[in-house]
Amino acid sequence: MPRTSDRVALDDWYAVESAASLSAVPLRTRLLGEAITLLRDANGAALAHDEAGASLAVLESYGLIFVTLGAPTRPLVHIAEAQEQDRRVIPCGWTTIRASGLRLVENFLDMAHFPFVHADILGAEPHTEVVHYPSAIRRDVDEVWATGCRFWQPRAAATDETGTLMEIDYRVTSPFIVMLYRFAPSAPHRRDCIALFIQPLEEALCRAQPVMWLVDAISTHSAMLHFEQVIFRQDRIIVENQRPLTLPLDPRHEIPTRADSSSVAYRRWLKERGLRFGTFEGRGA
Amino acid sequence: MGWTAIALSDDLAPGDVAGTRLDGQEVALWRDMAGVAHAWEDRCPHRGMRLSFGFVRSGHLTCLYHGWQYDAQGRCRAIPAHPELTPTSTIRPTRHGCVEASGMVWHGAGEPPPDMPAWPLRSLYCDVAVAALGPLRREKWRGTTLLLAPQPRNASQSCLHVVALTPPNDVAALLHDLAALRRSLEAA
Repeated sequence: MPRTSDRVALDDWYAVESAASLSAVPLRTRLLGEAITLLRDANGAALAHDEAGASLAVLESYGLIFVTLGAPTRPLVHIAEAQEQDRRVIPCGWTTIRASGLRLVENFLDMAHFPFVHADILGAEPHTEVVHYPSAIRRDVDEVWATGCRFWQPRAAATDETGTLMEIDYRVTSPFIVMLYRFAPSAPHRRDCIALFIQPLEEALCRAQPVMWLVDAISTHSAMLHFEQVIFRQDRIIVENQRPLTLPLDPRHEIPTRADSSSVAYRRWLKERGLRFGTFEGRGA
Repeated sequence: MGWTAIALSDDLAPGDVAGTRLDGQEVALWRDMAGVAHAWEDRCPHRGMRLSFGFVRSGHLTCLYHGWQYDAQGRCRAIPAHPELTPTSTIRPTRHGCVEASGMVWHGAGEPPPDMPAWPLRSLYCDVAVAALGPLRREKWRGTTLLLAPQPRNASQSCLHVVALTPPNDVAALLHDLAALRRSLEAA
């Protein structure tokens, strides 16, 4: 598949590799259908080239390498919590997923699946209700937010043994980057921060890495990593088995309910932006 | 349009959910607690999740993703995210024609296939195009009359559903012969 012609998709930043994995040895990967090469020069600066050998703009941030194939109109997402010195930073590793990255973002925004897909971890029957939460396309920052989301979670984090009525704010900062803020079970006055960075390889193929900035002085690194990896594996089974694998933006294609208001806002926002890559409509099949 | 066997009845117990492919199309197959088999499009109308990953609860096919429940008529009966909500009648998976006859579950439309007493043998999954399996037919093997029903799964994979229409004399030998048939088909 050649590089997409979707201007909206091209003019954005994408995480494509972990900063620690990059060396003078070139790494081949893909972005939006195009083969790209990543490496560090003699001074340690990250470089990227497209298939024709043209240089691509590169940023190094949050322990990741970000690349664009176009001319982004907005700066890379700002994550204030990443600057806090006492946070535990957990990069959870890359996973390749046979689905559109947009399906993965929507899954990340979704609470209603917790009792079924993450049973006895992020949710448990009979606590299945999703109470009303406000969601909106925030015009001031051009992001999608769903705030004050509350859900009963039997084991919300690696430290949680007793269950928590978790409060979560969701934030979509770009079509392929989604985050959440939740009250940390071990420090009730501060919020954990989890971001999911997605590298769209093809229309229905992506690589993704969750990165967590946690307020957790108790758990071991491996316990926190393991916790997130279990969750991610469970979600992968879902998104790889949704049909179509791309995300339909036409509201008639799939039937939402009130609990899906963040998904509805996200789809509307994507449609407004005119994104086609990874959507059902863009693929035309 | 006719009927295509998509499973042996014996392989689908009440409460079972399975997925199959028919000419590349994904089909969710399930049996309700009243014993009736159903073949539906393998896609929940809510968020497109394959219903074949679901489970049967309260006699309803339940989607794995969000627990939405569908009754035998395909009506949505429960949305767990909103326990007080009565789902609208427009939420329905696409249902296909499905009948049981001669020990097999059939997908299609029109005059149902003949129903004869049958003894289940095996569904042979073959990595060959359906044309290699031959037509729907009866054959006598080791003195036992068999019904052989081919199912195209996609362009290169198929399935041959086999039941005995007379009491099989030597089931182990017949199963052995069927395994050998598959090997010869795939080697050809």
